[in-house]
Amino acid sequence: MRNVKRPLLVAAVFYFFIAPFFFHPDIKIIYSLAGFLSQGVFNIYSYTAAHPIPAGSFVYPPLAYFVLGLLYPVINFLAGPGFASWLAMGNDAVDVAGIFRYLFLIKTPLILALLATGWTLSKISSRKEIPWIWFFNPLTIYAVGFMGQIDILPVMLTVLALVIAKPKPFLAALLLGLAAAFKTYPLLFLPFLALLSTTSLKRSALIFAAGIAPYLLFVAPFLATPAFYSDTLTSGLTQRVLQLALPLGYAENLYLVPVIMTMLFLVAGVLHRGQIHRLPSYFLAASLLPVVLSHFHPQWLLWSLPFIILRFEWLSLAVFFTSAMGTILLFPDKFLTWGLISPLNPQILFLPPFVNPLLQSLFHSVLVGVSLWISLCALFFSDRSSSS
Amino acid sequence: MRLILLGPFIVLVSSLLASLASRNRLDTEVPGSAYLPLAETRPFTFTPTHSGLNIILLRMKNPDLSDTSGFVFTISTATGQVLRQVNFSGRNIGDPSDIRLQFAPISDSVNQPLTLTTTSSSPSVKIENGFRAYYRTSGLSLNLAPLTRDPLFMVVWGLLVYGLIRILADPRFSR
Repeated sequence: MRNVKRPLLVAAVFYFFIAPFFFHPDIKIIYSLAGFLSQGVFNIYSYTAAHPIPAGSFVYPPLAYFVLGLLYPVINFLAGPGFASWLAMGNDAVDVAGIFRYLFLIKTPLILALLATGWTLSKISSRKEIPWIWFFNPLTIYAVGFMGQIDILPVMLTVLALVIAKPKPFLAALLLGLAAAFKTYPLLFLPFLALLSTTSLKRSALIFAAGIAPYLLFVAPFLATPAFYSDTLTSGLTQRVLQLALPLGYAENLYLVPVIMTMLFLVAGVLHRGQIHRLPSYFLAASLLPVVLSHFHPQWLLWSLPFIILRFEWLSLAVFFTSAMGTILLFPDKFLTWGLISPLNPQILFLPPFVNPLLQSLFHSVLVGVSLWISLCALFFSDRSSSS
Repeated sequence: MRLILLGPFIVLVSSLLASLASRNRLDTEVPGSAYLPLAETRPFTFTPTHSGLNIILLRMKNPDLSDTSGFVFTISTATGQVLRQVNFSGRNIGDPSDIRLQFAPISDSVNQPLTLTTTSSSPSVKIENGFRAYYRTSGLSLNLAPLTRDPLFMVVWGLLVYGLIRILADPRFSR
């Protein structure tokens, strides 16, 4: 194992240092809803449908609810008596006495997951720059350190799945299924794991089933709940990927993301069948392209980031991060810009966001360009294995 | 390598400190404990301790964000003279949200009893029984108050970060 202690420690210092001072409402809303598990609420989807609350509905799959719900009592105990009240307040409730403590505590599990992911990446690749780039690139700092997004939890599981995919594909599939029970996107990886792990159709089907099983195990109790569909399955990425469409006339549209995913599937199944060393390339393309070809949430870029960094080349990375941050910082949402620092200066919430759709679109266009380039390079222009 | 790591760290700390800079400082805070319908609330009365009062922060709730009634906020003296008036709409009110009412600074607000009144025909909007009042300072200054409200946490956090830095500085990790 390469020496990853130093980047791990520097990252720990950095992320625990900044954790209390940056705020985004998403993590507050998630914990606010996850807290209902402590009150005996099993089906959060039907509960919020029947009892509308200002926090809204729980838009993640069930495992996110259960894991954060199990963490809630510990965090609530450490945070003190004002924590539950703060969670129930509005999105701009930053001018409270315990805000730094609350933010530190709710981000701690995510920081630990981030550190674990960096350690796992160091086991995949021998390049000593990789943990440094993972911990200190602007997207990771923004999505985990500033926003505190829970996407790092399924990301950690997908990277772990990549490590064990070659010796233990069934276990890797299981991990992907578990990750999908946090956020649905890892289901996109399952077909490629199944196709690249073996040339046997039967074995591929079994690997796929091994991945679907844990996901279905967690969602099965909620399949009869209408709110589960509207809150999770038909929200977020699943809706946005269908918005990039070419009209064909007669009320028919050509959806570009399914087109690209179909091509990816066929390339894997026809050209790269059984070549497990290509799995990182497919994890990269399958999680990057649907995201950049949509009006994405910033944290969605975390999904593909470990796999991009594993194949890093400085120019592509520089263009990728610049265009990604340019796109994100021009979203017309104060909580994605100076609102992040509101715990230190609550009045900053009253500043309007800087809006320039043309500039944002240009950044986004560059992001798509570099993402296509990175994906094509990963799939076709290098047969270099990055395993240690 | 240490200099390379130290540079961004200094930039980060400087940026955090810069974000504390503010022209408006807290004069008076009356913590709220409940949201009440407007008709059941009484006007707030307080005596500012600084000149230049220029912002009042109210916390209000607009259930389902449905109420678009008009609201009138006034600041008046003990004799009933209206010093400032701000009109706003239910469209500005979240569920809940802070309503920031900013007006031209009241230069002689120090030690002058003032009454804050919010009136409306709104049937559903509620207002918290508390408020925060801010005054305008002469220039930008660092407001370190947010860092002092939870001293126990700040100490624990500081010790954690210091401990990690000490481990990092251990020669065994510099190889």
